[in-house]
Amino acid sequence: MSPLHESRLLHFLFVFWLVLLAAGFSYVVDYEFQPAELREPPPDLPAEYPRAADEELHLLLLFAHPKCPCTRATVEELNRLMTACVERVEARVHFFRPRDAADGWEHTDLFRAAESIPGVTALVDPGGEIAQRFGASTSGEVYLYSPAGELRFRGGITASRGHAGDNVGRHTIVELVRGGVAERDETPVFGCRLLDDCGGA
Amino acid sequence: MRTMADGLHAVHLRREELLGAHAFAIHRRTDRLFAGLLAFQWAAGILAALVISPHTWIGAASQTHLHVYAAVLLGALISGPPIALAIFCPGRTLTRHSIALGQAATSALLIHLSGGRIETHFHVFGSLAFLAFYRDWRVIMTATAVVAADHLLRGVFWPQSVFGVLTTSHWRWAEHAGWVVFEDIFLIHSCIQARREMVQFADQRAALEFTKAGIEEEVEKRTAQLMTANAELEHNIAERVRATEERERLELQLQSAQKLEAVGQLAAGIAHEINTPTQYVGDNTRFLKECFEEIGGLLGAYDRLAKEAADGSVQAGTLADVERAVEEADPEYLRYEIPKAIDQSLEGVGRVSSIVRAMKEFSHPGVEEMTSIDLNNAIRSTATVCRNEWKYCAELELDLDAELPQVPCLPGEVNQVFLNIIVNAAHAIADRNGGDPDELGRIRVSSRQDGECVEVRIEDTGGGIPEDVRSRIFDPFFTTKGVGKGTGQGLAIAHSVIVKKHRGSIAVECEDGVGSTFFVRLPLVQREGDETPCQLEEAA
Repeated sequence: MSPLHESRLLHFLFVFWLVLLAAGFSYVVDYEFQPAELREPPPDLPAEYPRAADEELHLLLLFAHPKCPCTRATVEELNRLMTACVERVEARVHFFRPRDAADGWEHTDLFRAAESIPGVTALVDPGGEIAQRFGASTSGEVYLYSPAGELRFRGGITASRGHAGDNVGRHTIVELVRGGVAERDETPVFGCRLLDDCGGA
Repeated sequence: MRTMADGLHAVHLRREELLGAHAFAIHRRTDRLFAGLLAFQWAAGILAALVISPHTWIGAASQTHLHVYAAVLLGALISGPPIALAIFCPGRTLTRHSIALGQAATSALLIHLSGGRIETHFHVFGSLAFLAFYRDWRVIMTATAVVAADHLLRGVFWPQSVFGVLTTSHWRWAEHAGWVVFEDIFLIHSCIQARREMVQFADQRAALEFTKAGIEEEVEKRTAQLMTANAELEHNIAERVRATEERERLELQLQSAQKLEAVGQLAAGIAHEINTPTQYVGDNTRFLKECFEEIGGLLGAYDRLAKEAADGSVQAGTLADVERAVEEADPEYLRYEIPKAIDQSLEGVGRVSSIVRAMKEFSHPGVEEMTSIDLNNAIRSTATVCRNEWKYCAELELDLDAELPQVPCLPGEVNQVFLNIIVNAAHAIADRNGGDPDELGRIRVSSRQDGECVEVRIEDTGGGIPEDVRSRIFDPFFTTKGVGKGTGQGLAIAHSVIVKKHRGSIAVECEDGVGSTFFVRLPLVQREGDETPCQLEEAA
């Protein structure tokens, strides 16, 4: 093969490679930005659900799968969120545990990270009963209830699946907690599914 | 001949060649480094995916996380082509730009695989610094363009993936790219600086090589000249050796010729010397023959008288015959002349004999090596053989040291020296006397021991040697004698024989109008390779 033909072939392969790279990245990015389906949560905090210890505090509920790697970003964002408004929010993280799982199944590093955040209580949700009660189906799904028990926000607090960093969900919650108003009350949520298609574990 | 412009052009071309080679070597080396790095990153990405996000979960069930597939497959897609290019096409422009692109893509993938950890973004800055190893700012620009394009496209289509918000300014990507550009400024400056240093280095090396080549060319030229000169020198030396050998051969021939000349010159004198005694020996012999005839007649008369007296009958005639025979023979005369004639004849024969012996001693036939001889005897013989040269103009006086030890020398050649000096002395005296036989000059030959040398002085009462030619008397072919009287070889050969062959010395002292004195000094011991005291004295 002459040097000219070789050079042309190489450049053609180079462009082809670029196309493949773009396609590959697009697929990955598309996956990471594929939001989960949101269900309707209770507009008011269910009566049987324990209120905040301080009746002036907002109540933030996070439903998480203890083994979902993408939820690590959500816990990091929760940490940032609580740092910003710990005096106005009480947070509870309900970690899903299958009904037939052994004790301690849910005690992952994610669980430990969550319970180490000031103002956050890590709880076990055996069989995902509480999640089902609130209509949460995706790990990383957040609900914010006002001190009066009204739903103020639902959605995710990461920009994409497993992508920590500045995001609309966290900003919205901070605005709601501090000022009472925000541009939106819902954001997409990214993460593993908490429950199987049958709704159980 | 190369002009200055040619030289500068050659240096420029060589600089470009060196620069290209240097840059190519750096690109090849960096390509290989990146091949290793990309492979390592690929493996690290897979490992990170397996550790950080191995599974995705649905309730209690799990399956392999997409990150693992992405790490394996997308990692291969990102790293494979640049690694292949680095291995099979190292140093090419396309290779390093592919590597820059792959490295930027790796940064993006690692950010995703790490779950968007902000620390992973440092990979971008590290990659840019590593890409600066190429010392090619265009490569950094390629990587920067990929990062900027990534932010621009994602900012437009998925802004929350890069900026964390659903909507943002279309120029937000520029802020992120700006930080990369911030680093680029230093890296590009570093690359340009490094490139300048490479150019400078190539320039210096090209100039050095040019200078070295010039020096080598000059050295080769000089070496060639030197070799030519050396060859000429060798040729000249060979010629000189040949000339020296030829000169020595000619000197030998001249020496022989001079010897023959001397012999020829002496032959007449010697013939005369021998002829004189031969003549009077012949005359005396004839005289003795006549005397014998007269004595025979007398004896015959006496014999007849004796017989008649024995018979008692002496006749008067017989007595008259006896008286007549006695009168004719004149016995008184015979008694006086015959012994005298015999003595003269014996003296003549002795004379001839001494001349023949002197000739034999003078010439020393067959002796060509150093032989210890009685130098006094040699002087005497020489004086004898040349007697005919000096006897008409000078008296020769010998004052020889009886205690003189034997002297190692070449007898024939040393005798030749004495002969030349004595004959010259005789000629000088004859020239001064104008050939007047009644006014004899004087030649005095003396010998004595002086330490480890023997000195022979030959003084004459000739006119001396003019001062202006005194320094040239030992030069070959130099003579002050008239045409046909001298060859100019006598003293030159004397000098050669005494100084070169015997390591002695020969010198002359002159006093105008009084005469000349030649000093011949010969060492008593001849040691090979050593200087002799006689030579030292001459040098002093």
